[in-house]
Amino acid sequence: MTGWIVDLYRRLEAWQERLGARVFLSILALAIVAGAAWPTLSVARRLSYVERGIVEVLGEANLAMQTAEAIQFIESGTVDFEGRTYGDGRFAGAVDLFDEAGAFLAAAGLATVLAAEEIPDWCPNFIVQTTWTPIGYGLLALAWLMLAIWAGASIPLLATTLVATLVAVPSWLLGFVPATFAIAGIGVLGFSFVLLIRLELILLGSCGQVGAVASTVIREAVRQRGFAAFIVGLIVVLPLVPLWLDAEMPLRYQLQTFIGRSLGITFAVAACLTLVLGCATVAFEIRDRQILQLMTKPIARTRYLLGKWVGIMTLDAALLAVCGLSIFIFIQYLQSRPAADAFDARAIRDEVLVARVSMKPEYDLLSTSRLLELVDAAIDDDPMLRDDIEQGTADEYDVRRDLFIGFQSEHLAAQRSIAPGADRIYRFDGLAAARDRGANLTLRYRFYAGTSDELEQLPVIFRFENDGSWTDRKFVPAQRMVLPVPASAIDEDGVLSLAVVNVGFNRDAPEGTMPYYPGPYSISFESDDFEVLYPVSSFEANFLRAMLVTWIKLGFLAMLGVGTASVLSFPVACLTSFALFLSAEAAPFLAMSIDTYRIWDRDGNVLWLKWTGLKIATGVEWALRSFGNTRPNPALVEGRLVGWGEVLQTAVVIGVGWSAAVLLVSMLLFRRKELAVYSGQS
Amino acid sequence: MVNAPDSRETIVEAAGLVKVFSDFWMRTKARAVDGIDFSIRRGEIFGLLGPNGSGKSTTIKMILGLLRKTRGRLTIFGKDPSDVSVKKRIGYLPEESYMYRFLNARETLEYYGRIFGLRASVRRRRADELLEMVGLGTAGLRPVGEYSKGMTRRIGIAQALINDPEFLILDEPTSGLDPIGTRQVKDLLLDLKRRGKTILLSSHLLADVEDVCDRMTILYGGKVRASGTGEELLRDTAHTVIRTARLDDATIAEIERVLSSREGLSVERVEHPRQRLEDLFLQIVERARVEHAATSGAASGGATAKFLLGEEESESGEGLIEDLVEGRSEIPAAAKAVVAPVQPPAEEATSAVVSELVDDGPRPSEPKKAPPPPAGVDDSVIEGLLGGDDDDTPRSGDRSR
Repeated sequence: MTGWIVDLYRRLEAWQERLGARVFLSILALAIVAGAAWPTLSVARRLSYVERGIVEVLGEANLAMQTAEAIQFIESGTVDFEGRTYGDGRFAGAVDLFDEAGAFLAAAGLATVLAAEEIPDWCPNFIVQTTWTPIGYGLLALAWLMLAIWAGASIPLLATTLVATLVAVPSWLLGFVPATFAIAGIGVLGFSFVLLIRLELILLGSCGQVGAVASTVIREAVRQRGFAAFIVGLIVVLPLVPLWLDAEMPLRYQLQTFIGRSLGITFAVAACLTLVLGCATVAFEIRDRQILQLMTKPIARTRYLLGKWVGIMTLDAALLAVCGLSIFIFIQYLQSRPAADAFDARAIRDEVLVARVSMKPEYDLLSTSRLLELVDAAIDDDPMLRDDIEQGTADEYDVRRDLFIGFQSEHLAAQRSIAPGADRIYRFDGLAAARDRGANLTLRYRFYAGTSDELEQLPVIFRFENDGSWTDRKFVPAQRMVLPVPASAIDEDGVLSLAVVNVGFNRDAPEGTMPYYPGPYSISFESDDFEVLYPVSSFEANFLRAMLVTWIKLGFLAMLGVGTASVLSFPVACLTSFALFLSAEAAPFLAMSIDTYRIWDRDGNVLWLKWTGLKIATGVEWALRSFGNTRPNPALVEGRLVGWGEVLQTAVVIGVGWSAAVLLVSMLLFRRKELAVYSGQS
Repeated sequence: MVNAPDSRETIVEAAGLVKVFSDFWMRTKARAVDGIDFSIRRGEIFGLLGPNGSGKSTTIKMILGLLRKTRGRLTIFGKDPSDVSVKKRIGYLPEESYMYRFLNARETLEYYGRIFGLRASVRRRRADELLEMVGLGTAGLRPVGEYSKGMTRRIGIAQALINDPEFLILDEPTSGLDPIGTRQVKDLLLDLKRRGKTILLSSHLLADVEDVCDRMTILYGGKVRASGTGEELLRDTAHTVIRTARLDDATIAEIERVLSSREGLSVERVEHPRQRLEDLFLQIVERARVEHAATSGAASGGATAKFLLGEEESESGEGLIEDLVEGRSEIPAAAKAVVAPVQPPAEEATSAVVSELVDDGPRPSEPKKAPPPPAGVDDSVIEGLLGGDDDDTPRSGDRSR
């Protein structure tokens, strides 16, 4: 039975190598892609037309002026365009979608949601977002197919498609649609990876000795079960991540959960693979003595190590490219699904699928001389403290340092606290660019008040000092909240002055009575919990930069694995590499621990063991903090910018500096190393 | 034991070479090589003999730069062994073939060919010829991890030859090979010698060394115990052997009588020589091959690869195109060697032969091809051996009188 299948497969494999077969398959691929792209392009054009029309209709709507469009929307949640009604009761009564002047806050986002009704069932929403997306996806698919055809992988592609279809069809028939997509995803991902690896091997073929060593590393990774398990595991798990999403959650949370989990899994698996492969490919080659044979050939040891590193980096590039592309496509698919409401849709656009920079308010700092005065006064006023210093039970330097830091912190905390009925103005400087771009700004805040009961909603008013406009809000203590900020609130100098007023506004207050009332508790917040964010780049570019940063980080791990294994045995090299990797990843948490770590006993005596531990931890944290602080994935989840500056800095510091340092140290030791060992009797 | 002066280029020169292995605390663990002197000249097959632990492999690893010498002088092609450039001219077969289990034979040769900077077309052609030569033509796409020990040895030999080396170092080359493979390796060595290649052969199998080596050094305890040509070391000046057609007992008795009366000597031993087992075995296998009997694993090896015989095709247009694609600006040194194969200096070689003819001194033994097997063989003997019985069949048919 299997004999004729194998025979047929071999015949087809031989056939696809012919030029005529490749040309035929290319024309076929072109026809298939064009056949699929044409109808989706028509849908995209229609969708774009309807969106523009709805934006125009919404532009005429004004709640303050009680226009017919505004009243229809508030009453029924619908909009009419060219005789067709878009929308439904979900949007009825959504007065929050209008600003103080009665105009729509985010007409474009709402139009996208309403026009989605134009998309037929057979068409995935994310493919028709703009008139260019069907063309982009079509070209991507065509390039992928052409690569498969001309790299001699047409028949494997056909076989993969066939197997994936055979597995997916029963799942589809049984109604497990997400599982069907997951199975198809596994097939596409797996084949794409194979295709990229083939392409990389072809490219490395012209890279001399380094390329030869690198090619062998790639073959080792994909053919040895231990390493292939990482790759297969990732390719299988990644398409299953969407199955864990809670479909009841607002779409923005689904997106954030998916981005966080999928990128987290990808980085974790790729990092482990990189370290294990880096250690194994060198250590096992020394242990199993293939290196004896290789080093009698004309290859310098530096080139050998570089080849190993290039091989792992190339493998990581393929892995990240395939995983990144699949994650990106699924994000596009997710964001094209209907949002829970208009706020959800706006949040996706302005807070998740965006690249924003953050600006914190300026706080007043006490001068050093003033702080020293306060410290002196505090010591003078505290006889017990003075006695401790005089008797040597407390170190004067430590006491003064703690007081110094404490006064400054106290002064800053006071500026982040607003008493009931009071207000405080915060200045955000350097926002001229945001104002000029007319960007949608977001104030992100988390207030603490009273007992911070999560079920309690407390009032607050935000007042924009530039134009005097204000808005009243309810906040849940200790929960992260957001407030849209119009670009017009920024003055000509690029300064946003925002007053936080700890009062409530009673809309139903009888005429002639005061509608304002003081908040029940003082409001306070941490310095990281009050910031203005504004978009400076697209999510797509941000995603690409985040993947680049991840790749560079993996590059260092690859060099770490290769370097340690060149002088240590596999278990020791693995242990060392993983210890360094985990320490580097945990460096920010280590820094927090160091801040609160105490090395004195109750009598003020230094505990030397703890002191030694602290010094080691401080050294490790200092040396590795760059790696730990470079975290592109959380930034992507929160819609924060991963700038080219960060990419460049990571490339220079971690990619070049750290990797070169590891290579240099390894080379110094590896060059001195005798690769053969004494095999006689001592 | 005095070597005749030899004006040929010295490929390897060792003088007072010492290798001491130390432990972590720098305490001496072993003195593996203890002040040895030797030199290997272009175009000769040099044998390194000695029991286990005598320092053979350590010496070879120092020549290859895998170990650093403790003291003494060691040069290869006039350079330090750690110099990467000299390795372009060397082929090395370790005592065990250390292969990448996940690569197949073709990829293995491709890999080492790329390390030598060979062009793709040259790599492909040489890989084809070498695989055919070592009998792995049909197993070229199987992962090396699935190979038997003998097959691994064969691919090991192929990788050592991929760069058409000027100087070939073989550590136990026939280990793990069947008699066909062993014979083929010996023939290959002689072919290479005819092309002027220099070979360092380390082996426990003294017969192998005796068959092919021009000069040899015997090591024990890290020291040189004997050194010289095969003729110098093995010549038996006390006896004379007369080879003729089979004689009857009466004739032998008559010869003994003549010897006794003229020289006062007696016949010590009369032999009726038997065919060598190796020759018999090869004949049977050859017959089976002619009959197309099925076998698994490595096939019998083919003819010596053309490029090793200096018959490689000249530069082709395809090769030049590949040069452009691969961005090479010049032909690599190894490829140059292929274009203009290294030959022993004709003048020097001629003068050496003339001096040997004129001088009455010791002469290097001529390379010997194994004699052709005679017809009419008792197959049952071989069948017993192939059946794996560990019987005590004597190897020699000597009979003493």
